[in-house]
Amino acid sequence: MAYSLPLTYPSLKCVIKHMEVNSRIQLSQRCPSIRKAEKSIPLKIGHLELDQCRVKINNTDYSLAVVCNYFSSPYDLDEVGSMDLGEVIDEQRDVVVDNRSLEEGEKRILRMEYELRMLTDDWEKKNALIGEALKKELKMTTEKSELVNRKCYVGIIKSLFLSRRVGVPAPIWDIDFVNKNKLITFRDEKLSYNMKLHQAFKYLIFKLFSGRRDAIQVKKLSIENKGILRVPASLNLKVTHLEILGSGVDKIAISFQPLLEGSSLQSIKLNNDFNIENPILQTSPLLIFKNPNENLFRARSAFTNVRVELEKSTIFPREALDLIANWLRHGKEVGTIWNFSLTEVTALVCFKDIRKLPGAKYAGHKTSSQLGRSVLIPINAFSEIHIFDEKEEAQDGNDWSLKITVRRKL
Amino acid sequence: MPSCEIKFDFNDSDESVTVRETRIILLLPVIRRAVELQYPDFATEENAVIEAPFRVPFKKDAGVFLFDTIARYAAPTDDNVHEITVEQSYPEAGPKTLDELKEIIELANFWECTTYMECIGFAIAKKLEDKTIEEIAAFMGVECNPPGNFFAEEDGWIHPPADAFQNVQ
Repeated sequence: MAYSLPLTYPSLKCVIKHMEVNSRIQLSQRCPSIRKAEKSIPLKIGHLELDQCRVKINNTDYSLAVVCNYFSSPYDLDEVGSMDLGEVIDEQRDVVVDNRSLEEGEKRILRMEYELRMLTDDWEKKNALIGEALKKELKMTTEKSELVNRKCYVGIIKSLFLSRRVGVPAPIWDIDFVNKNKLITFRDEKLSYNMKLHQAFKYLIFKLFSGRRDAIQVKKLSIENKGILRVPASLNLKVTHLEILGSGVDKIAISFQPLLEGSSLQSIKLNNDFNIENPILQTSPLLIFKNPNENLFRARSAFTNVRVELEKSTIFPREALDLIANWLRHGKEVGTIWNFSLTEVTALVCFKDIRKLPGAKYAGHKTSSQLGRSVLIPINAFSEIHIFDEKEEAQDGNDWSLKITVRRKL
Repeated sequence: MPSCEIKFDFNDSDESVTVRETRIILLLPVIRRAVELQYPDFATEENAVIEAPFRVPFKKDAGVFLFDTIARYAAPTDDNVHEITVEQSYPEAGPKTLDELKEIIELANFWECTTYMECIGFAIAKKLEDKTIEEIAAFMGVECNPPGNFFAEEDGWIHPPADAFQNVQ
Protein backbone atom coordinates (compact mmCIF):
# COMPACT_ATOMS: atom_id res chain seq x y z
CA MET A 1 0.00 0.00 0.00
CA ALA A 2 1.17 3.52 -0.74
CA TYR A 3 0.02 6.73 0.89
CA SER A 4 0.34 10.08 -0.76
CA LEU A 5 1.07 12.32 2.22
CA PRO A 6 2.82 11.76 5.53
CA LEU A 7 0.91 12.40 8.73
CA THR A 8 1.37 15.89 10.11
CA TYR A 9 3.21 16.13 13.41
CA PRO A 10 0.14 16.59 15.68
CA SER A 11 -1.65 13.69 13.98
CA LEU A 12 1.46 11.54 14.21
CA LYS A 13 1.64 12.14 17.95
CA CYS A 14 -2.01 11.18 18.42
CA VAL A 15 -1.49 7.91 16.58
CA ILE A 16 1.80 7.03 18.28
CA LYS A 17 0.26 7.75 21.68
CA HIS A 18 -2.26 4.96 21.23
CA MET A 19 -0.13 2.46 19.32
CA GLU A 20 0.60 -0.96 20.75
CA VAL A 21 3.69 -0.48 22.92
CA ASN A 22 5.95 -3.05 21.30
CA SER A 23 5.22 -1.85 17.76
CA ARG A 24 5.91 1.66 18.96
CA ILE A 25 9.31 0.68 20.35
CA GLN A 26 10.25 -1.12 17.14
CA LEU A 27 9.09 1.82 15.07
CA SER A 28 11.21 4.18 17.15
CA GLN A 29 14.27 1.98 16.72
CA ARG A 30 13.90 1.72 12.96
CA CYS A 31 12.62 5.19 12.00
CA PRO A 32 15.11 7.83 13.17
CA SER A 33 13.01 10.71 11.86
CA ILE A 34 10.22 10.09 14.37
CA ARG A 35 12.36 8.90 17.28
CA LYS A 36 12.26 12.22 19.10
CA ALA A 37 8.51 12.49 18.67
CA GLU A 38 8.05 8.95 19.96
CA LYS A 39 10.29 9.54 22.99
CA SER A 40 8.40 12.69 23.94
CA ILE A 41 5.04 10.92 24.22
CA PRO A 42 4.44 9.14 27.54
CA LEU A 43 4.65 5.36 27.28
CA LYS A 44 1.76 3.44 28.85
CA ILE A 45 2.25 -0.25 29.53
CA GLY A 46 -0.56 -2.46 30.77
CA HIS A 47 1.63 -5.21 32.23
CA LEU A 48 5.41 -5.07 32.54
CA GLU A 49 7.18 -8.20 33.76
CA LEU A 50 10.84 -8.18 34.77
CA ASP A 51 13.06 -10.97 35.92
CA GLN A 52 16.83 -11.26 35.76
CA CYS A 53 16.91 -12.34 32.12
CA ARG A 54 13.58 -11.38 30.63
CA VAL A 55 11.41 -8.38 29.94
CA LYS A 56 7.81 -8.97 28.98
CA ILE A 57 5.82 -5.99 27.76
CA ASN A 58 2.13 -6.84 27.59
CA ASN A 59 2.28 -10.01 25.46
CA THR A 60 5.74 -9.70 23.92
CA ASP A 61 8.84 -11.37 25.33
CA TYR A 62 12.42 -10.10 25.25
CA SER A 63 14.41 -13.03 26.66
CA LEU A 64 18.07 -13.62 27.35
CA ALA A 65 19.72 -16.91 28.25
CA VAL A 66 23.22 -18.33 28.52
CA VAL A 67 23.26 -21.20 26.04
CA CYS A 68 25.57 -24.04 25.06
CA ASN A 69 24.53 -26.76 22.63
CA TYR A 70 21.43 -28.13 24.27
CA PHE A 71 21.58 -26.46 27.66
CA SER A 72 20.49 -23.00 28.65
CA SER A 73 20.62 -21.06 31.88
CA PRO A 74 18.67 -18.02 33.07
CA TYR A 75 21.65 -16.69 35.02
CA ASP A 76 25.41 -16.41 34.65
CA LEU A 77 27.59 -19.50 34.68
CA ASP A 78 31.21 -19.96 35.65
CA GLU A 79 33.86 -21.64 33.49
CA VAL A 80 32.72 -25.16 34.36
CA GLY A 81 29.04 -24.46 33.91
CA SER A 82 27.95 -23.96 37.49
CA MET A 83 26.09 -20.92 38.72
CA ASP A 84 28.53 -18.04 38.81
CA LEU A 85 28.78 -16.93 42.44
CA GLY A 86 31.62 -14.50 41.88
CA GLU A 87 31.68 -10.95 43.19
CA VAL A 88 29.64 -8.40 41.27
CA ILE A 89 31.54 -5.20 40.62
CA ASP A 90 29.10 -2.38 41.19
CA GLU A 91 31.03 0.62 39.93
CA GLN A 92 28.15 2.07 37.97
CA ARG A 93 24.96 3.66 39.23
CA ASP A 94 22.63 0.74 38.84
CA VAL A 95 19.93 -0.85 40.90
CA VAL A 96 21.33 -4.34 41.54
CA VAL A 97 19.41 -7.12 43.27
CA ASP A 98 21.47 -10.21 44.05
CA ASN A 99 19.31 -13.25 44.77
CA ARG A 100 21.83 -15.91 43.82
CA SER A 101 21.82 -19.06 45.87
CA LEU A 102 23.46 -22.47 45.79
CA GLU A 103 20.02 -24.02 46.02
CA GLU A 104 19.03 -22.53 42.68
CA GLY A 105 22.29 -23.75 41.15
CA GLU A 106 21.53 -27.26 42.37
CA LYS A 107 18.07 -27.09 40.85
CA ARG A 108 19.60 -26.31 37.51
CA ILE A 109 21.88 -29.36 37.71
CA LEU A 110 18.81 -31.48 38.30
CA ARG A 111 17.00 -29.88 35.36
CA MET A 112 20.03 -30.54 33.20
CA GLU A 113 20.05 -34.21 34.17
CA TYR A 114 16.39 -34.39 33.25
CA GLU A 115 17.10 -32.76 29.90
CA LEU A 116 19.88 -35.26 29.22
CA ARG A 117 17.56 -38.17 29.86
CA MET A 118 15.12 -36.75 27.35
CA LEU A 119 17.69 -36.68 24.57
CA THR A 120 17.20 -38.96 21.61
CA ASP A 121 19.65 -41.65 20.56
CA ASP A 122 21.92 -39.18 18.80
CA TRP A 123 22.86 -37.51 22.06
CA GLU A 124 26.52 -38.02 21.36
CA LYS A 125 26.33 -35.91 18.22
CA LYS A 126 24.48 -33.16 19.99
CA ASN A 127 27.07 -33.01 22.72
CA ALA A 128 30.20 -33.46 20.67
CA LEU A 129 32.08 -30.73 22.47
CA ILE A 130 31.32 -32.07 25.90
CA GLY A 131 32.07 -35.56 24.64
CA GLU A 132 35.52 -34.47 23.53
CA ALA A 133 36.12 -32.89 26.92
CA LEU A 134 35.09 -36.10 28.62
CA LYS A 135 37.40 -38.21 26.51
CA LYS A 136 40.36 -36.05 27.44
CA GLU A 137 39.35 -35.99 31.06
CA LEU A 138 38.89 -39.72 31.29
CA LYS A 139 41.70 -40.61 28.85
CA MET A 140 39.37 -42.95 27.07
CA THR A 141 40.01 -44.48 23.71
CA THR A 142 37.55 -44.08 20.92
CA GLU A 143 36.31 -47.63 21.33
CA LYS A 144 35.71 -47.26 25.06
CA SER A 145 33.87 -43.98 24.70
CA GLU A 146 31.22 -45.75 22.69
CA LEU A 147 30.53 -47.85 25.73
CA VAL A 148 29.62 -44.87 27.87
CA ASN A 149 25.91 -45.15 28.32
CA ARG A 150 23.38 -42.48 29.02
CA LYS A 151 23.19 -43.03 32.74
CA CYS A 152 26.95 -42.96 33.21
CA TYR A 153 27.15 -39.83 31.08
CA VAL A 154 24.75 -38.00 33.33
CA GLY A 155 26.76 -38.92 36.39
CA ILE A 156 29.99 -37.77 34.80
CA ILE A 157 28.51 -34.44 33.81
CA LYS A 158 27.21 -33.90 37.29
CA SER A 159 30.50 -34.76 38.95
CA LEU A 160 32.37 -32.47 36.58
CA PHE A 161 30.13 -29.55 37.29
CA LEU A 162 29.85 -30.11 41.00
CA SER A 163 33.53 -30.71 41.59
CA ARG A 164 34.54 -27.70 39.49
CA ARG A 165 37.54 -29.47 38.06
CA VAL A 166 40.20 -27.31 36.51
CA GLY A 167 41.75 -27.98 33.18
CA VAL A 168 38.65 -29.28 31.47
CA PRO A 169 38.04 -27.39 28.25
CA ALA A 170 34.98 -25.24 28.79
CA PRO A 171 32.03 -25.61 26.46
CA ILE A 172 31.42 -22.62 24.25
CA TRP A 173 28.73 -20.55 25.92
CA ASP A 174 26.84 -17.79 24.15
CA ILE A 175 24.06 -15.44 25.10
CA ASP A 176 20.86 -15.98 23.16
CA PHE A 177 18.42 -13.07 22.75
CA VAL A 178 14.89 -13.87 21.57
CA ASN A 179 12.15 -11.31 20.95
CA LYS A 180 8.77 -12.86 20.24
CA ASN A 181 5.10 -12.95 21.00
CA LYS A 182 2.68 -15.84 20.63
CA LEU A 183 2.60 -15.57 16.86
CA ILE A 184 5.92 -14.18 15.65
CA THR A 185 9.59 -14.43 16.50
CA PHE A 186 10.88 -10.96 15.70
CA ARG A 187 14.55 -11.59 16.52
CA ASP A 188 16.82 -14.42 17.51
CA GLU A 189 20.34 -13.12 18.08
CA LYS A 190 23.43 -14.93 19.31
CA LEU A 191 26.03 -12.98 21.27
CA SER A 192 29.47 -13.99 22.43
CA TYR A 193 29.54 -14.54 26.17
CA ASN A 194 32.08 -11.79 26.78
CA MET A 195 29.83 -9.79 29.09
CA LYS A 196 27.72 -11.00 31.99
CA LEU A 197 24.07 -11.82 31.51
CA HIS A 198 23.04 -9.14 33.97
CA GLN A 199 24.93 -6.56 31.92
CA ALA A 200 23.13 -7.74 28.79
CA PHE A 201 19.87 -7.42 30.67
CA LYS A 202 20.69 -3.88 31.71
CA TYR A 203 21.50 -3.06 28.08
CA LEU A 204 18.16 -4.55 27.04
CA ILE A 205 16.30 -2.33 29.51
CA PHE A 206 18.30 0.65 28.31
CA LYS A 207 17.46 0.03 24.65
CA LEU A 208 13.78 -0.45 25.36
CA PHE A 209 13.16 2.42 27.76
CA SER A 210 15.94 5.00 27.71
CA GLY A 211 15.72 8.58 26.53
CA ARG A 212 12.13 9.24 27.52
CA ARG A 213 11.07 12.66 28.68
CA ASP A 214 8.32 11.41 30.99
CA ALA A 215 7.98 8.55 33.41
CA ILE A 216 6.83 5.27 31.91
CA GLN A 217 3.31 4.61 33.13
CA VAL A 218 2.89 0.98 34.11
CA LYS A 219 -0.48 -0.29 35.21
CA LYS A 220 0.94 -3.51 36.64
CA LEU A 221 4.61 -4.26 37.32
CA SER A 222 5.66 -7.84 38.13
CA ILE A 223 9.21 -8.52 39.34
CA GLU A 224 10.97 -11.81 40.01
CA ASN A 225 14.67 -12.56 40.41
CA LYS A 226 16.63 -15.81 40.62
CA GLY A 227 20.08 -14.40 39.81
CA ILE A 228 21.35 -10.86 39.48
CA LEU A 229 18.79 -8.32 38.39
CA ARG A 230 20.49 -5.17 37.15
CA VAL A 231 18.43 -2.17 36.11
CA PRO A 232 19.61 1.37 35.23
CA ALA A 233 18.97 3.73 38.13
CA SER A 234 17.67 6.22 35.58
CA LEU A 235 14.70 3.98 34.79
CA ASN A 236 11.73 6.19 35.55
CA LEU A 237 8.53 4.30 36.32
CA LYS A 238 5.10 5.32 37.49
CA VAL A 239 3.46 2.14 38.72
CA THR A 240 -0.12 1.56 39.81
CA HIS A 241 -0.02 -2.10 40.89
CA LEU A 242 3.18 -3.81 42.02
CA GLU A 243 3.66 -7.58 42.24
CA ILE A 244 6.80 -9.29 43.54
CA LEU A 245 7.02 -13.00 42.83
CA GLY A 246 9.24 -15.84 43.95
CA SER A 247 11.79 -15.62 46.72
CA GLY A 248 13.93 -12.68 47.75
CA VAL A 249 10.90 -10.41 48.04
CA ASP A 250 12.52 -8.13 50.58
CA LYS A 251 15.67 -7.53 48.54
CA ILE A 252 13.64 -6.67 45.47
CA ALA A 253 11.30 -4.37 47.38
CA ILE A 254 14.13 -2.46 49.03
CA SER A 255 16.19 -2.13 45.86
CA PHE A 256 13.31 -1.02 43.67
CA GLN A 257 11.91 1.54 46.08
CA PRO A 258 13.97 4.41 44.57
CA LEU A 259 12.60 3.57 41.13
CA LEU A 260 9.05 3.75 42.46
CA GLU A 261 9.27 7.09 44.25
CA GLY A 262 7.18 8.79 41.57
CA SER A 263 4.50 6.11 41.70
CA SER A 264 1.12 6.29 43.39
CA LEU A 265 0.75 2.61 44.17
CA GLN A 266 -2.80 1.30 44.44
CA SER A 267 -1.77 -2.20 45.46
CA ILE A 268 1.25 -4.32 46.28
CA LYS A 269 1.10 -8.08 45.90
CA LEU A 270 3.68 -10.33 47.53
CA ASN A 271 3.96 -14.06 47.92
CA ASN A 272 5.82 -16.44 50.21
CA ASP A 273 7.96 -15.01 52.98
CA PHE A 274 8.69 -11.34 53.47
CA ASN A 275 9.54 -8.98 56.28
CA ILE A 276 6.40 -7.22 57.45
CA GLU A 277 8.53 -4.28 58.61
CA ASN A 278 9.52 -3.50 55.01
CA PRO A 279 8.77 0.22 54.53
CA ILE A 280 7.47 -0.30 51.00
CA LEU A 281 4.41 -1.92 52.56
CA GLN A 282 3.43 1.47 53.97
CA THR A 283 3.26 3.03 50.50
CA SER A 284 0.13 1.31 49.18
CA PRO A 285 -3.51 1.44 50.31
CA LEU A 286 -4.08 -2.23 49.45
CA LEU A 287 -1.79 -5.16 50.20
CA ILE A 288 -2.28 -8.57 48.63
CA PHE A 289 -0.51 -11.52 50.20
CA LYS A 290 -0.40 -14.87 48.46
CA ASN A 291 0.34 -17.88 50.68
CA PRO A 292 1.93 -15.72 53.38
CA ASN A 293 3.87 -17.08 56.31
CA GLU A 294 1.58 -17.73 59.26
CA ASN A 295 3.52 -15.20 61.34
CA LEU A 296 1.72 -12.49 59.40
CA PHE A 297 -1.46 -13.24 61.32
CA ARG A 298 0.16 -13.22 64.74
CA ALA A 299 2.36 -10.16 64.48
CA ARG A 300 1.28 -6.62 65.21
CA SER A 301 1.19 -4.61 62.01
CA ALA A 302 -0.17 -1.34 60.69
CA PHE A 303 -1.84 -3.02 57.70
CA THR A 304 -5.45 -1.93 57.43
CA ASN A 305 -6.50 -3.02 53.94
CA VAL A 306 -5.31 -6.52 53.16
CA ARG A 307 -6.34 -9.26 50.78
CA VAL A 308 -5.10 -12.77 51.56
CA GLU A 309 -4.99 -15.41 48.83
CA LEU A 310 -4.34 -19.00 49.85
CA GLU A 311 -4.03 -22.21 47.86
CA LYS A 312 -7.46 -23.63 47.15
CA SER A 313 -6.85 -26.86 49.02
CA THR A 314 -5.91 -25.16 52.27
CA ILE A 315 -8.33 -25.45 55.16
CA PHE A 316 -7.13 -22.64 57.30
CA PRO A 317 -9.31 -21.64 60.26
CA ARG A 318 -6.11 -21.23 62.23
CA GLU A 319 -4.98 -18.18 60.23
CA ALA A 320 -8.28 -16.39 60.71
CA LEU A 321 -8.45 -17.36 64.38
CA ASP A 322 -4.87 -16.17 64.94
CA LEU A 323 -5.71 -12.86 63.34
CA ILE A 324 -8.80 -12.34 65.46
CA ALA A 325 -6.94 -13.29 68.64
CA ASN A 326 -4.21 -10.85 67.66
CA TRP A 327 -6.67 -7.98 67.27
CA LEU A 328 -8.46 -8.83 70.49
CA ARG A 329 -5.17 -8.72 72.37
CA HIS A 330 -3.62 -5.60 70.83
CA GLY A 331 -6.56 -3.73 69.34
CA LYS A 332 -6.86 -2.65 65.72
CA GLU A 333 -7.80 0.57 63.91
CA VAL A 334 -11.44 1.16 63.07
CA GLY A 335 -11.86 0.79 59.31
CA THR A 336 -9.50 -2.17 58.98
CA ILE A 337 -10.54 -4.76 56.38
CA TRP A 338 -8.82 -8.08 55.86
CA ASN A 339 -10.32 -9.96 52.95
CA PHE A 340 -9.65 -13.69 52.60
CA SER A 341 -10.17 -15.10 49.12
CA LEU A 342 -11.26 -18.73 49.32
CA THR A 343 -14.01 -21.21 48.51
CA GLU A 344 -17.47 -21.13 50.01
CA VAL A 345 -16.88 -24.44 51.78
CA THR A 346 -13.76 -23.08 53.43
CA ALA A 347 -15.62 -19.95 54.50
CA LEU A 348 -18.27 -22.13 56.08
CA VAL A 349 -15.64 -24.05 58.04
CA CYS A 350 -14.15 -20.77 59.25
CA PHE A 351 -17.49 -19.46 60.41
CA LYS A 352 -18.17 -22.57 62.44
CA ASP A 353 -14.96 -22.05 64.37
CA ILE A 354 -15.16 -18.27 64.63
CA ARG A 355 -18.64 -18.28 66.11
CA LYS A 356 -17.39 -20.42 68.99
CA LEU A 357 -14.92 -17.79 70.16
CA PRO A 358 -15.67 -16.24 73.58
CA GLY A 359 -17.74 -13.08 73.27
CA ALA A 360 -18.79 -13.90 69.71
CA LYS A 361 -22.34 -13.11 68.63
CA TYR A 362 -23.58 -14.93 65.56
CA ALA A 363 -26.28 -13.61 63.23
CA GLY A 364 -27.84 -15.68 60.45
CA HIS A 365 -29.20 -19.16 60.02
CA LYS A 366 -28.43 -21.45 62.92
CA THR A 367 -26.62 -23.97 60.75
CA SER A 368 -24.54 -21.29 58.98
CA SER A 369 -25.79 -22.58 55.66
CA GLN A 370 -27.16 -19.43 54.10
CA LEU A 371 -26.04 -15.99 53.05
CA GLY A 372 -26.19 -13.05 55.38
CA ARG A 373 -24.28 -14.72 58.19
CA SER A 374 -21.98 -12.61 60.31
CA VAL A 375 -20.19 -12.65 63.63
CA LEU A 376 -19.55 -9.77 66.02
CA ILE A 377 -16.78 -9.88 68.63
CA PRO A 378 -16.21 -6.83 70.87
CA ILE A 379 -12.63 -5.54 71.15
CA ASN A 380 -13.26 -2.84 73.71
CA ALA A 381 -15.94 -0.33 74.68
CA PHE A 382 -15.71 1.49 71.35
CA SER A 383 -14.88 -0.99 68.59
CA GLU A 384 -15.70 -4.51 67.53
CA ILE A 385 -14.66 -7.10 64.99
CA HIS A 386 -17.29 -7.72 62.32
CA ILE A 387 -16.88 -10.87 60.24
CA PHE A 388 -19.02 -11.63 57.23
CA ASP A 389 -18.76 -13.26 53.82
CA GLU A 390 -19.97 -12.64 50.30
CA LYS A 391 -19.61 -13.92 46.78
CA GLU A 392 -17.09 -12.26 44.49
CA GLU A 393 -15.77 -12.53 40.94
CA ALA A 394 -14.23 -15.94 40.40
CA GLN A 395 -10.45 -16.02 40.46
CA ASP A 396 -8.84 -19.43 40.01
CA GLY A 397 -11.59 -21.23 41.88
CA ASN A 398 -11.64 -19.01 44.97
CA ASP A 399 -14.93 -17.27 44.31
CA TRP A 400 -15.82 -16.43 47.88
CA SER A 401 -14.69 -13.73 50.21
CA LEU A 402 -14.43 -13.80 54.00
CA LYS A 403 -14.12 -10.27 55.37
CA ILE A 404 -12.74 -9.64 58.83
CA THR A 405 -13.24 -5.97 59.64
CA VAL A 406 -13.04 -3.56 62.55
CA ARG A 407 -15.78 -1.01 63.02
CA ARG A 408 -17.05 1.38 65.62
CA LYS A 409 -19.62 -0.15 67.94
CA LEU A 410 -23.15 0.69 66.90
CA MET B 1 -32.01 28.11 21.43
CA PRO B 2 -28.84 28.96 19.52
CA SER B 3 -28.80 28.05 15.86
CA CYS B 4 -26.71 28.83 12.83
CA GLU B 5 -26.32 28.24 9.13
CA ILE B 6 -22.72 27.74 8.02
CA LYS B 7 -21.63 26.25 4.70
CA PHE B 8 -18.52 24.25 3.86
CA ASP B 9 -17.09 23.59 0.39
CA PHE B 10 -14.90 20.48 0.26
CA ASN B 11 -12.29 20.00 -2.44
CA ASP B 12 -13.83 16.87 -3.99
CA SER B 13 -17.44 18.04 -4.26
CA ASP B 14 -19.32 20.94 -5.83
CA GLU B 15 -22.14 20.63 -3.33
CA SER B 16 -21.86 22.56 -0.07
CA VAL B 17 -22.41 20.94 3.31
CA THR B 18 -24.50 23.06 5.66
CA VAL B 19 -24.14 22.81 9.43
CA ARG B 20 -27.01 24.19 11.50
CA GLU B 21 -25.96 23.06 14.98
CA THR B 22 -24.09 25.64 16.99
CA ARG B 23 -22.69 23.04 19.39
CA ILE B 24 -20.80 21.39 16.53
CA ILE B 25 -19.29 24.66 15.34
CA LEU B 26 -18.21 25.40 18.91
CA LEU B 27 -16.11 22.24 18.77
CA LEU B 28 -14.15 23.52 15.75
CA PRO B 29 -11.85 26.24 17.20
CA VAL B 30 -10.70 27.64 13.86
CA ILE B 31 -14.25 27.99 12.54
CA ARG B 32 -15.54 29.29 15.85
CA ARG B 33 -12.95 32.08 15.88
CA ALA B 34 -13.83 33.01 12.30
CA VAL B 35 -17.56 33.08 13.02
CA GLU B 36 -17.10 35.10 16.21
CA LEU B 37 -15.58 37.90 14.15
CA GLN B 38 -19.04 38.47 12.75
CA TYR B 39 -21.12 37.18 15.69
CA PRO B 40 -19.25 37.94 18.96
CA ASP B 41 -21.93 36.13 21.00
CA PHE B 42 -22.11 33.22 18.62
CA ALA B 43 -22.59 30.65 21.39
CA THR B 44 -26.00 32.12 22.25
CA GLU B 45 -26.90 33.67 18.90
CA GLU B 46 -30.06 32.55 17.14
CA ASN B 47 -30.00 32.08 13.39
CA ALA B 48 -26.37 33.11 12.87
CA VAL B 49 -25.93 33.03 9.10
CA ILE B 50 -22.56 33.11 7.35
CA GLU B 51 -23.13 33.80 3.66
CA ALA B 52 -19.78 32.82 2.19
CA PRO B 53 -18.91 29.10 2.47
CA PHE B 54 -15.70 27.99 4.18
CA ARG B 55 -13.37 26.32 1.73
CA VAL B 56 -11.88 23.10 3.13
CA PRO B 57 -8.94 21.34 1.41
CA PHE B 58 -10.19 17.88 2.43
CA LYS B 59 -12.71 15.35 1.19
CA LYS B 60 -16.40 15.74 1.83
CA ASP B 61 -16.74 12.27 3.37
CA ALA B 62 -14.19 13.21 6.02
CA GLY B 63 -16.08 16.38 6.83
CA VAL B 64 -19.45 14.69 7.04
CA PHE B 65 -17.99 12.00 9.30
CA LEU B 66 -16.46 14.60 11.58
CA PHE B 67 -19.71 16.58 11.83
CA ASP B 68 -21.63 13.39 12.62
CA THR B 69 -19.33 12.14 15.38
CA ILE B 70 -17.37 14.99 16.96
CA ALA B 71 -20.01 15.80 19.59
CA ARG B 72 -20.39 12.17 20.65
CA TYR B 73 -16.80 10.92 20.80
CA ALA B 74 -15.00 11.16 24.15
CA ALA B 75 -11.22 10.96 24.20
CA PRO B 76 -9.53 8.00 25.92
CA THR B 77 -8.35 8.75 29.44
CA ASP B 78 -5.44 7.32 31.43
CA ASP B 79 -7.90 5.27 33.44
CA ASN B 80 -9.80 3.64 30.61
CA VAL B 81 -7.27 3.53 27.77
CA HIS B 82 -6.49 -0.15 28.45
CA GLU B 83 -10.15 -1.19 28.51
CA ILE B 84 -11.92 0.65 25.70
CA THR B 85 -12.29 -0.69 22.19
CA VAL B 86 -13.04 0.93 18.86
CA GLU B 87 -16.23 -1.15 18.55
CA GLN B 88 -17.60 0.17 21.83
CA SER B 89 -16.43 3.78 21.88
CA TYR B 90 -16.01 4.70 18.20
CA PRO B 91 -18.26 2.32 16.25
CA GLU B 92 -18.50 4.48 13.11
CA ALA B 93 -14.70 4.58 12.85
CA GLY B 94 -14.38 0.79 12.77
CA PRO B 95 -15.45 0.26 9.14
CA LYS B 96 -13.33 3.16 7.86
CA THR B 97 -10.10 2.38 6.03
CA LEU B 98 -6.76 3.69 7.23
CA ASP B 99 -6.67 6.11 4.31
CA GLU B 100 -10.08 7.50 5.24
CA LEU B 101 -9.12 7.82 8.89
CA LYS B 102 -5.96 9.64 7.91
CA GLU B 103 -8.05 12.18 6.00
CA ILE B 104 -10.33 12.61 9.02
CA ILE B 105 -7.54 13.13 11.54
CA GLU B 106 -5.80 15.63 9.26
CA LEU B 107 -9.06 17.55 8.87
CA ALA B 108 -9.42 17.55 12.66
CA ASN B 109 -5.87 18.85 12.93
CA PHE B 110 -6.61 21.54 10.33
CA TRP B 111 -9.49 22.74 12.49
CA GLU B 112 -7.53 22.30 15.76
CA CYS B 113 -9.94 19.70 17.16
CA THR B 114 -7.30 18.23 19.47
CA THR B 115 -9.64 16.20 21.70
CA TYR B 116 -11.31 14.63 18.69
CA MET B 117 -7.90 13.82 17.21
CA GLU B 118 -7.26 11.60 20.23
CA CYS B 119 -10.30 9.52 19.33
CA ILE B 120 -9.34 9.11 15.68
CA GLY B 121 -5.71 8.51 16.66
CA PHE B 122 -6.89 5.70 18.91
CA ALA B 123 -8.92 4.14 16.08
CA ILE B 124 -5.97 4.39 13.69
CA ALA B 125 -3.60 2.88 16.26
CA LYS B 126 -5.88 -0.12 16.76
CA LYS B 127 -6.02 -0.71 13.01
CA LEU B 128 -2.23 -0.59 12.86
CA GLU B 129 -1.83 -3.32 15.48
CA ASP B 130 -1.70 -6.16 12.96
CA LYS B 131 0.49 -4.32 10.46
CA THR B 132 4.22 -4.81 10.03
CA ILE B 133 6.62 -2.05 10.99
CA GLU B 134 7.25 -1.36 7.30
CA GLU B 135 3.54 -0.89 6.67
CA ILE B 136 3.15 1.36 9.70
CA ALA B 137 6.07 3.51 8.59
CA ALA B 138 4.65 3.76 5.07
CA PHE B 139 1.29 4.85 6.47
CA MET B 140 2.99 7.54 8.54
CA GLY B 141 5.12 8.60 5.60
CA VAL B 142 8.47 8.08 7.30
CA GLU B 143 11.57 6.19 6.20
CA CYS B 144 12.15 2.80 7.81
CA ASN B 145 15.60 1.23 8.31
CA PRO B 146 16.21 -2.52 8.13
CA PRO B 147 16.03 -4.24 11.56
CA GLY B 148 19.76 -4.63 12.26
CA ASN B 149 21.01 -6.06 15.55
CA PHE B 150 19.28 -5.22 18.80
CA PHE B 151 22.59 -5.63 20.64
CA ALA B 152 24.63 -3.17 18.61
CA GLU B 153 28.22 -4.12 17.88
CA GLU B 154 29.31 -0.52 18.34
CA ASP B 155 28.22 -0.88 21.97
CA GLY B 156 30.65 -3.75 22.50
CA TRP B 157 28.45 -6.77 21.78
CA ILE B 158 30.04 -9.46 19.65
CA HIS B 159 28.01 -11.71 17.39
CA PRO B 160 29.84 -15.00 16.77
CA PRO B 161 30.26 -15.99 13.10
CA ALA B 162 27.36 -18.11 11.88
CA ASP B 163 29.46 -21.13 10.92
CA ALA B 164 30.35 -21.66 14.57
CA PHE B 165 26.75 -22.69 15.20
CA GLN B 166 26.67 -25.06 12.27
CA ASN B 167 29.59 -26.96 13.73
CA VAL B 168 27.87 -27.23 17.06
CA GLN B 169 24.30 -27.96 15.98
